[in-house]
Amino acid sequence: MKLVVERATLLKALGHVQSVVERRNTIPILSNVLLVAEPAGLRLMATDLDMQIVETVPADVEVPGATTVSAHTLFDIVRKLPDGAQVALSQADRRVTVTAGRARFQLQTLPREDFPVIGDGDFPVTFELPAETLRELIDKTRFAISTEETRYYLNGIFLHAPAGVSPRVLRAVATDGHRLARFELPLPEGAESMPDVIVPRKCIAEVRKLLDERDGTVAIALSPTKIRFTIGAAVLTSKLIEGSFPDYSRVIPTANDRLLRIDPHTLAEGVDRVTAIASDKVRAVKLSLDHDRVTLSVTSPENGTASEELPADYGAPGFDVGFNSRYLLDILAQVEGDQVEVHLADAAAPTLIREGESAKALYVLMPMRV
Amino acid sequence: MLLKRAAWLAALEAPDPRVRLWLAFGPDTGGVEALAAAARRALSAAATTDLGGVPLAEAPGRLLEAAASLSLFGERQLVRIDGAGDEAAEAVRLLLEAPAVANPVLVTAGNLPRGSSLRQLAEAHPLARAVAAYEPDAREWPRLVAEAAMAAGVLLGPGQDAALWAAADGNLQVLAAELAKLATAVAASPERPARVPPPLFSALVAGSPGESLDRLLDALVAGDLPALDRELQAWGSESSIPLLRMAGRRLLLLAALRRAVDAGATPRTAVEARRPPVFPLALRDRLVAALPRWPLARLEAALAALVEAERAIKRSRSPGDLLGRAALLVAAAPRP
Repeated sequence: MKLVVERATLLKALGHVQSVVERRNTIPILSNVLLVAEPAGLRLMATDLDMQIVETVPADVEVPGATTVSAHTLFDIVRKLPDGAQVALSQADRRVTVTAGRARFQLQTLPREDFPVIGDGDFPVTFELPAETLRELIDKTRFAISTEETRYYLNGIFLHAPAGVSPRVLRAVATDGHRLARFELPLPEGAESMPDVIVPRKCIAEVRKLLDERDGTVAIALSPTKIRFTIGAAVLTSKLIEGSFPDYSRVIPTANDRLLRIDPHTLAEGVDRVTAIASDKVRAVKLSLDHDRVTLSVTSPENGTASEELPADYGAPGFDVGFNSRYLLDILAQVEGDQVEVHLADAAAPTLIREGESAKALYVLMPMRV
Repeated sequence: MLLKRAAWLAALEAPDPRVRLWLAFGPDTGGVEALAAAARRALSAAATTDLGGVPLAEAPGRLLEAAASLSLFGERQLVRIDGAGDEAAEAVRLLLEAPAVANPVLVTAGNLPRGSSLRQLAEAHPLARAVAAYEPDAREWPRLVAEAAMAAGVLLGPGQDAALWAAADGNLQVLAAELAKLATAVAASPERPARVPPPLFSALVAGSPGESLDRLLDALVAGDLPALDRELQAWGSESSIPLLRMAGRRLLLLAALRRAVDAGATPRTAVEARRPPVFPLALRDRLVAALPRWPLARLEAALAALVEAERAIKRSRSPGDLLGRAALLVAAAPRP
């Protein structure tokens, strides 16, 4: 293997693939990136056995070949090379030599034959989404993904095309058992027969990183066990979470009869202010609803109390309800308009939060006892 | 509020929804785990929030946050902290002093001294139920084994309860593990209890001495050389190192009893007062009979000889297991 590649091009691709590689690995080959020099350029591949990323970059390939080297080491080396450098990679005697200007590095390799490939297989469902839409879908739901390993089936975003909804939609749902985020968009062409899938949190994070650098269209391919995102030159394939996502539709309230309309930014700023008194000890904030006003209050056993009255549109009977302030702020951060609807029932029932009936995103938040 | 074990378990039969904290602590880790298992069953949560890895000293509000959070899917939830210490006291104080919570909290801890802030909080607060697990009283063993066997769905045959208690060495966690193993072997469950055939029982219960080994050790302490020789022949070509070690343990037990006798106890009271208790019961009589023949000096010499025999067996060009068998016969031989 012998090739020359532009430093910025190689750095960008390595940045993508090394992100998949875990910092600590018990299987040495998984710390490495597979480098394949071929006529089309330099192909880089990394995997953690649950996810695989492949990216091909333009390169002057003199001698085709393939090997694997430490992904993080190669990334660190290329990162420290000067801008505009031409990076030469050559392989001999189980070592890869990296040369740029007067800098020269020799890296240990592991055989390419040992490198696991998980991305193969049939993907019977394929469709496309604008990158901007996929970004929005992820941003509006990922914050609610559970990190609790025991309920592994909540450790991702549930993507599905629910039956019985007309016109048909693609829905993304995430929940941690205390809050839920749902985002929907018209079902893209090609997704009509898509299976219900749960896309793991790590895959979502990697896709979101790739979307930061990319506009245009993202191709999505699905099988019952894997999902593949093609984002520019990067192809990310991930295993799906095996398990049944709970029937979330039953926890989305439909008959909450106490409607609060309020400026989400005013509410978020107020919550942020009153929780300042609680330090890290208590995250609960109490909302006392009364005619056209909401009073936020927090009691800290050590620091005292804080309260703030906010103007709002509220006409139902007054009552008190508590929320986890962090969860409430997470949701309010997703609201872009200048008014949010908060549909409440009582202090122990799920609360529906959305911008309006036609909003693409809706959120459900469980109260806290306060 | 501090409760005795039985009262704590009785309180769990119909848990008061106002109780926020269930604390089980004490030096008997097996007992603590058995109590926690009973609490988990009684509180029958569909989901558990485990705060065991959360640094509660730095983020004490996390416990209250977990306890006050309502579940979106409506399942009963339980918040757990295992292996807690006083670093959790502030978190527990916030929990107990909060205006309201939604989910019960189960905390287990090791031996909390009387001055422990966590223990004092739980013992004093009306919304907490604390229980201490000390090594079980030997007199309670039949009931403890019977309760554990019933929970596992194992029907015990004659002598099996005593053998299990001896194998568990008084540790309720080990006892539960042994019973779980037996239940798996005979596909027993609380709904479908089953008996364990004696050969299977002997093969499965950890440390359950085989009859042959029992006879060999009895012959050793009784100084019955013909019987010992017979048992050694029956041992066949197996390594004698395990025999030396088992014999060493029996002689160590005798030495402990002998020290009690030398301090003024009768052989019978020395054996009866031994903790953990001596099982099976028949062994007690054999030890009482053997004690007059085993002054401490003889025991020390015999123990040293057994250790030396094992060392000699392991040397290169050693005659091997012959040394072990010889050492056992010499140790058993009555002194002039």
